[in-house]
Amino acid sequence: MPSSSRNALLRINLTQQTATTEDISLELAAYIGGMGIGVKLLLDEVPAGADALGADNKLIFAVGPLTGTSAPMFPQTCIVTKSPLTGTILNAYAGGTLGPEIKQAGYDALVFEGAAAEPIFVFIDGKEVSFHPAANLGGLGTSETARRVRRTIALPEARVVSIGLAGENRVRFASALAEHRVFGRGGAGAVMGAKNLKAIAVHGDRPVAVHDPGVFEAAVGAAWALIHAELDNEFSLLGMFSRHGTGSGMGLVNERHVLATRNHRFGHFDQAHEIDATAYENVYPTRPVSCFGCPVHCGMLRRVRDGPLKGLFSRGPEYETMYALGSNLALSDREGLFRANDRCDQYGMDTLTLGAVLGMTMEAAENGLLKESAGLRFGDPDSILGLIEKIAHRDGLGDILAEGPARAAEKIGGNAIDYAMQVKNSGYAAWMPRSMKGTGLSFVTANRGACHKRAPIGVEIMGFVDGTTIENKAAIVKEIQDKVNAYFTLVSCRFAEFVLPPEIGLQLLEGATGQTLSDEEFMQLGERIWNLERVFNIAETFGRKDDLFPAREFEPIAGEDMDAPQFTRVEADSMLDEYYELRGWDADGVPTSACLEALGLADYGKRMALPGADKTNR
Amino acid sequence: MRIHVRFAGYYRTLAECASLDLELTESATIDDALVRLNEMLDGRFTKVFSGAGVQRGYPTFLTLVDFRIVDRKVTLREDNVMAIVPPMAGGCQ
Repeated sequence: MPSSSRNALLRINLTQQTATTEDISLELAAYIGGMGIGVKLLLDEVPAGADALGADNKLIFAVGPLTGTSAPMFPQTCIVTKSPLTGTILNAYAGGTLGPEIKQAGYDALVFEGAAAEPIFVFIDGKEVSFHPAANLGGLGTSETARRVRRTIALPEARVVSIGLAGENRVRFASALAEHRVFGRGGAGAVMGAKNLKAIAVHGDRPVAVHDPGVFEAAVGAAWALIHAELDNEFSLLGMFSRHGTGSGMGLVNERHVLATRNHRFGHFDQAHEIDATAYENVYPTRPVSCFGCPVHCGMLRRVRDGPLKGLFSRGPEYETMYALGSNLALSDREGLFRANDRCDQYGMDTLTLGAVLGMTMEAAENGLLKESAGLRFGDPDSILGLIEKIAHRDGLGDILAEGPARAAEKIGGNAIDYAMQVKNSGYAAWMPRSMKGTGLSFVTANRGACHKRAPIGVEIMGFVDGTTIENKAAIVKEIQDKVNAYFTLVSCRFAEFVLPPEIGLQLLEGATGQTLSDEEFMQLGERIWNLERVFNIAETFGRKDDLFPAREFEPIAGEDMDAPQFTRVEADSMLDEYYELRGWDADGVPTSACLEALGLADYGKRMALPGADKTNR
Repeated sequence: MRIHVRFAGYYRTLAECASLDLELTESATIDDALVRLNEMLDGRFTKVFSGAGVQRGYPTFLTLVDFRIVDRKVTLREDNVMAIVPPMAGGCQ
């Protein structure tokens, strides 16, 4: 019977420059796709203590059973690898059209292992895999790299993932770009750089069939109806994203006093209206761009018509970047922010962790902790753009900052670590745990560090749950982590979960592959993957000691008219205790054997018993 | 009593300021404040809200008092900070 899954993975050995196709085993297929099979493969194939930037680490691109089909909002591709930024397991996502191309090339996953001796790019053209020298692409930006790769293979329609200078220089928060979409978090770009893999081009022409067209089309119709109803409502969240991009909610976040400002000291940015979606639309001609088959088209492409940036054509900034390089750095210079966002895309750098690094650096400079701090100040676009250049080139202070916020703060010394808004060296996302304690618990317990993709942001912002108390937050966070992990096996857009209930996803899965799962089984799969990730991290010597809030979280939010919510270490400990207990973990955050057994993961207990990992890459 | 009003998004343009202070009678509600605000700003908010409350057919907006989203029947107190957030700035349900 046909299935939308290929049941095939392509294994590419970069050291030997060979490629082999393998069947996906039934055991692996039980993890459906995306991060499910990626996490399982990484656990099974990468030894504990492997150097994230070494040849032992693997870089896995995984798609899902709905990728490349007509199911709306399932266009993404997932990268799973060991993160050089955090030392934990990483899953990172990008939309666009890469995923469907991988599927049309005939694969559910690409596994890159080893490392090339010299810079190369790899071209996957269906069953043919070729290796090309890429020394001539060294130092080029991500867009220019993609252009030249397409020209070299003489295939304009090929999809390309590329890294920029940051990845080549192994900046620990380097990203990889798939056209206008970014695998942002955790340093997947540095892993590519360490493997001397400048780019990957993919081309395929095999149609994607589904198992039961009747069941599948009915589920697609139901999904479209729900999405259209949401988009028809002009002022629904998804409707606003569709018309104006993700930056359209900034006013509410600001008025709720949870828009992190000046390195999370304040919760309100007086100039927020200068850098929100409306502000950009008013100045720059803007048009939406969508991922494969997505009716939401939340990406916004803008062109600069005059001034110093005349001719610049770039996507964004997205909401999280408006925070990270905007309010967080007190930057209200719209053009400067647009420029900084574009430089990050071209160098290939995660704007969220960059924002945390720069916030820490500017506050350290304000407090006299830096020797090389002349002119560095909040709100100054030249300071920000200058540091981006230094980090990408690993020049002077930039070489220290390229290590990520916590590692850089340790090198700077003094109390700089108190200014580093991070968890496990991964920079915070846009939200303020002092007023959103559930979101805070999500940050500290996230397996990839400070993750906002599995956090109760919406319900806390809207006041559906009181974000200022710790009550019931452990249960809310566990539920959303498991649920999103389950969804991510289908490699959905994060916004799909806003509008599509799990049963729609499961109907789509059944129609596409014939695989039937109950809601409970689906949620348990999410929980199983969450625990597998935790096992990986425990074997890398992570535990409760690393599930920590930055010191700033226990200070009041500054502001003259703010009756600030307080957050105490006792509350933080209490939330963690409750969360670990709900998960079936011990007081140190280690999954118990009973927990692993109940989830069918008993064999993985052995991995946690291995000797402590090498911490040089943490 | 006196409260402080903050405008987000397009309402800032409409009001021609980011914030202002408003004098109200004791036990006034948010709806009362909106009516008073419209009068004070020469009817510039008539399209959005009037004496009858929110204009029919106009998209809803969110009102916040002291940084929490609240219903418009809520009674205000001296020194409250009331914010009005239009849909385009995230003020939608």
